Amino acid sequence: MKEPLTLRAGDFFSFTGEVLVFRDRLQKLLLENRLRRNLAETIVYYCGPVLREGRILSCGPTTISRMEEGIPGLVERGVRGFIGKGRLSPSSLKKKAFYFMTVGGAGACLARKISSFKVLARPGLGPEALYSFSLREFPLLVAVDLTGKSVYT
Amino acid sequence: MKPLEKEIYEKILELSRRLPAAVKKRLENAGRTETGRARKALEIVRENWKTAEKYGMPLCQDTGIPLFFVTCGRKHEPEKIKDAIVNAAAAAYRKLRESEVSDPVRRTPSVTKPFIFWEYGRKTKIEILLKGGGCENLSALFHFNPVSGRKEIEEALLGFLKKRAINACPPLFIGIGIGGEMLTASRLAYRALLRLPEKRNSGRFYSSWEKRLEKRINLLGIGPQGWGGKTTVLGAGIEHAPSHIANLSLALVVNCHSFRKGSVFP
Repeated sequence: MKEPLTLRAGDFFSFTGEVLVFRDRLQKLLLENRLRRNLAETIVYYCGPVLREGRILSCGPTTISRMEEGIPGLVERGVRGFIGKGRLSPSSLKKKAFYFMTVGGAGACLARKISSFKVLARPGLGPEALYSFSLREFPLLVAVDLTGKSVYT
Repeated sequence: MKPLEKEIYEKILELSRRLPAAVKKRLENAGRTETGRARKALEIVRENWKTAEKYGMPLCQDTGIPLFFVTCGRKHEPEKIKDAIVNAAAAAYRKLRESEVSDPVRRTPSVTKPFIFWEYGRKTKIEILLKGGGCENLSALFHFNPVSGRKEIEEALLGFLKKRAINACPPLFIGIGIGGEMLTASRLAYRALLRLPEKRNSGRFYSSWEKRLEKRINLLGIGPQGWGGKTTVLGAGIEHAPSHIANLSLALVVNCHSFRKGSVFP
């Protein structure tokens, strides 16, 4: 893996490491401080996984545009990168965080890249709970880099 | 489980794990014409369906909400078919992702309840579509000025898809229903979608419009996942119905590349 800060829009790379996994509802809880969590130096993966019989069976990205409104707030709290699919305005990242795309609809293949996972909070929300995944060689495309350049404009 | 319930249950699970052969073929052909990032995206899509089939995993974490289009023949009782569908869906989604909330505003998690649409015909047929939520956000209803022609409609659709198609997991399958009022237009759009990618509209005007629309959408350059490329749609279908002289309704239903549709014949 390359030194993350040198990554540029359009680069492919394989990510190995920890990500915080959540989506629409949990993001709202975080931003309203109804759920407290230190987000400094984290990478967020927007995903609502299929968890059955103690295994993650499928875990592709969800559409990031629905989360866009809350992204500046998460960047302020120290999130360094977001993984999702679809369009995100580079301005919401304030040149302080990356947007990485992975392949929507590739949930089975991406689930094979999880080495371990935990349910961190709100298990009752099912796919909308807060998880952490330990990823191994997870395929990513740099969609917005730290200069604000994007791959889709 | 009763035989019909079991058949529907197994079909839902199969659709969540295995793409229809015609869809795979379209995706593979598209992969051969693409280069660079677009090719890479389609290679991962291909690896995904192989993984899903091999290990019995859902193709996508969004296993959708199950839509049922039932053509009910004389020999079958709608009540029995409905019970079989409801029970089969509840059982199948215990193995998939429960993506439904029972109340859209208060967001209460729920077990999966299917949506069923009925028609009557000679032979009974149950068509199933596992509809993902990401692409559904792109489905829309338009009301054109009744004197708008084909050209104006086409430009509006292209303008609409240009910015938004990237969010719906392209390459897409799109169904278009023109005419009627909002309900008829929407039902026609699903009719058009469900015959893809195998069949064209039977009339010349609409079948050539389908081809033209596919070509023009693909020229937008959005490509697989919006990563650029030649393949933004893998199929466009159009169906039409009569219309009020004051209306020109158009419903657009959008499906992602994970086009999980199939049929059961009781």
